[in-house]
Parts: sequence; C-alpha cells; structure tokens
Amino acid sequence: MLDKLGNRSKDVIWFIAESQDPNHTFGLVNKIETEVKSFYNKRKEAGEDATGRPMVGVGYSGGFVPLLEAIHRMNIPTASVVGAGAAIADIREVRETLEILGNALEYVQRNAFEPVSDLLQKFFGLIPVIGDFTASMIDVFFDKLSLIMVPGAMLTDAAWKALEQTVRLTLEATGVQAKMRDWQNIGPANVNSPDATLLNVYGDMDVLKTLNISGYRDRIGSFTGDKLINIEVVSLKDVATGKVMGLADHYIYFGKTRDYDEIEDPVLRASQREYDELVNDFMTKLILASSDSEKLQLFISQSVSDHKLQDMGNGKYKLFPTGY
Amino acid sequence: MKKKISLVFLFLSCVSPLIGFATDQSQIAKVAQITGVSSSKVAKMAEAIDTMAEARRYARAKNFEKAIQLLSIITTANGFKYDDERFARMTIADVRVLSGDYEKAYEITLELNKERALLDDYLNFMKAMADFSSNKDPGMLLAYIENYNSKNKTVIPPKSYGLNYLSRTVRFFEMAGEIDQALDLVDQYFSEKSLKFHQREKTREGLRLLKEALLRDKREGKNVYAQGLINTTDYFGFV
Repeated sequence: MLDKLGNRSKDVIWFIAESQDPNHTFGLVNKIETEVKSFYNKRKEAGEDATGRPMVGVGYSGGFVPLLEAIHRMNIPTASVVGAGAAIADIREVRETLEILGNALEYVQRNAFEPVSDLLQKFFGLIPVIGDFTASMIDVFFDKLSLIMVPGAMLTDAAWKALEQTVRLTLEATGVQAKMRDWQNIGPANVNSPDATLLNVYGDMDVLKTLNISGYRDRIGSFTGDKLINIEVVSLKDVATGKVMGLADHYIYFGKTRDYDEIEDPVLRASQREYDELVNDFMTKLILASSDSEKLQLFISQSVSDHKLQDMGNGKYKLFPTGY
Repeated sequence: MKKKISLVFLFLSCVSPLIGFATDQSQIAKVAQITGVSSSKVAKMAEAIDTMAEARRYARAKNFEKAIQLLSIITTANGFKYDDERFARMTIADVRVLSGDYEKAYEITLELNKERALLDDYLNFMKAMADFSSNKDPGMLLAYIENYNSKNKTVIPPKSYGLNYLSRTVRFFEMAGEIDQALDLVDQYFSEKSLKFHQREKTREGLRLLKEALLRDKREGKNVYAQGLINTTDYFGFV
C-alpha cells in the first residue's frame, strides 16, 4: 500500500543500488565507453582525432558514478563533470531500509496528508534490525512522521527540518550510515584532468540528500578545494507561513522528470512548474558555462551579484531560483 | 581559436534511460535533450554565454567599444531572455569599470537594481568607485572594504579565500594607495589553508603575479600594476 502512496523514491533507490552492483555497473560503464568510442570513430571518419577533446559529463542520480568510472577508465580529457542529485554513497548493504525511509519521506512531500501512522507502522517490521537502538529510533521516526501528517496540513519547512533531523539520527543510531560507503574516497572519481571541475548540485529536499546518499561533500575522489563546487538548490517557501511552494526534490534538475498530475492543488502545481523551469534554466546555463573554467567562474560570480546564488564560502553556494 | 568540447551525458532513472554523445553540429540539441529545454532556448542561452566571453576578451585587450557593441546585442528585443540581457548589462557595467568610467558603471548598476534587486555588496562596490571618481576620497573605498568585511566574515580570509573578493579588495586598496594592506591580503592567500583550497596552478600563478605587481607599485611609488593585471587577465574573474 505504501508503494502506491510514494513509490518513485523506492524505484530511484532500487535503481541506484542496482547500478552499484559490480555486474550492472560494468554493463553501464561499457555502454558509455561504447558510445564514446562510437563518437571518436565518427569524428575520425570526418578527419578529426577527437580523443583529445575535453568533455563535459552530466550524471543524474545513479548515473553519476558509472559516468565517473567510464571517464576514469578511458582517461577521457575532462573540462567538467556536473552531478545532479548524484548518488555518492554505496547503498547496496542497506537498500531495503533506505527504500522504506525514502518512501515515507516522499509520501510526506507529496502532500497526501492523512492519518496513516498505523499503515506506516506495518512497514516498521520490514526494516532489517541492525543495532540495539533500531526499534526505538525507527519508532521516533514514525512518531514524528505521524505528527506531521495532520489531515489538511501542508508541507512546511519546519516540519521537513524536524523530519530530516530524525532521519539522520535514525541512520546513525541504527548503523545504516556506517554501512553506506561514501564514494568520495574511492577510485572512480579520480579523473585525470588537472583543470577539471566537478559541480555537485542537489536539492535541499531531495530524498537522497536527506538519506545522505547525495548532498554536500568536501571531497569527491580527486575533486576537492577549488576543483569541487557544491550547489544546494533551496526550496521555495512562503515567507509568512513557511509552506513549501517549490519543492527542491529529486525531480527538479531536468525537464520531463516530474509528473505534474500528481500534484492535486492547482496553485501548488503551477508554482512547482514555474520553480522547476527556473532550476532547469539554471542547470542548462551551468552545463553550457562549464565547458570553460572562465565562463563558469563568471556565470557563478554574476549569479551571486544577481541575488540568485548565495556564496557560503569555500566553493559552496545556495541557489535561490526566484532570488533571495 | 575556440577549444572544441565534447559532451557526454548519462541519464539513469526509473523513468527513461538515455545516453548520448554530442557532435559539434548537434551540441545544442544534445544539451536540449539532456535538460528538457527547447533547442531554440538552449541556442540563445549558449549564444549569450559565448558572446559575453568574447566581449570579455575584447575588454581585457582594452577594446572596450567592441566589447560593449557585442554585449548590446543581447537584448530581449533580439530574442534573448531577460536574465541573459541582465547578465549582459552587468558585463557592460564591468567593462565600464575596466575602462575607468566608474560613474557610467554605477549608473547601469542602479538601473538594473531598480528592475530587480542586485546584491547590496555589488551595488556598493560600484557606488564606492563612482564616489571615488568624483571626489577622489580614498576613505570611500576603505569604508566599503570595512563594511563588506564586517558583514561577510564567513566568506573572507581566514575562513574562505574567494578570488572575486581578492581582486575587488586589492583593486580598492591599490586605488586608495594602501599597498601594504593589499600585500597583507595577498599574503593570506599564500597560507597553507588557502593553498590547500587553491590547487590550480593557474590560480597560484595569478597570486604570484599579483604580489609582484604590488611590490612593483611599492618600488616605483605607483598604484596601477595590480589593477593592470586584474583588468587584462582572467586569473581572478572579470572585475
């Protein structure tokens, strides 16, 4: 039943875990390599050796790590890599728990507020027991969830922050966090292009960020310092009520990834559509500008002066698509 | 000659797997395919970004009129989005700074701010230069730095080492004749923490050249060389 209420998150998490399976990853990486070789061959036929061309790579969700691995394996010269809601942690060992938590979180996001704590409690038993604190922590999580889900209530920033905090505590106390190996310290992200930049873009209410599968990192493989830029997309909130009018979730980065029919309230639907378009435009310009470090630097600096990006220091920015 | 860039994209989701690799001719189409934005819109965005980059190259070569001529094409009347026109006008203001026409730069910035609020710090940066231009009081420039530093402690040394902050602050210190203060700031960018962040050789070279320019100022009793470096190279951004 919960699947019917919020199963997209489960699918995404399942897909990420599958993409991290060595056999599956091998297939994905091979697919990319075949495409790259095909491109090189086409250019060769046109009289150009394109193997030295710098590349801009864009990886969404579970596609990010296979993309890096292909770049690494083929030693492709790289101008930049853009990760959008990119899965940076290996979640294979804890997939089931994350799917359930992710589903519950997405259910809250989708504004289907009804008293469903009984229903959610049934799923309690499906979470694998990993530590002594599991029962109490998961209990706290679902208690918090049922408090938020008051009939007729709307998703607010404060409610989400409370839930996010509880999820993080749950991940730590149950040992789930410890079983999520972060890709930041392992091989695939060691791209051999000294001047390449990695742009890590993620929504502040992306379920993957809340589950710490994606989100801010101070290192991803060989990318650190001024070679790594983190951009957190901030959800649009009504200043007076705290109500979320534009959700920076897993479906903001590119067009055609959100089903707007799922948003029943026409005002929210229109607001989300407008918000998504602004994020989409930003991502497009970011990809275009990231072909060259000077263009990228200027695009970011002008976005800061134009009150869209807030400089948080040390290569971290917050994006307010409607300004701040 | 422009460097050719290839674009690869891996889109993996439960909804629609898609993979592709762009050729020169289809690069716009590839970005459109990735982002879901229409090809015509992507083409205009790309044109705006490329034109602004070209204009900056002209401005750095001190061909300011050619730079402004190029930037003036990026208007809503010519089919660009307002945000692109806005960035082009911000670039025109920056070109005016490079040409020394600070009052015009501030005038453009004020117009933009009326249409939609710009960051106060950016507006104040332009205002300080315009005020200095008319009354030659270096106090205006130093007051700007002090005000900025007091409001932005988390994004300035020793917390963070942004290049925009460096170039703007050094510009003002040099205009105000405060070469020692400029050198103190540049030296902070050679700290262990800063160099751990600034890993690019190009940036480190820029820092070395900036320090040399300030030392030359000091030796020759002038206050021009750091601005000369900032205005004619792309080590630190544009303005």
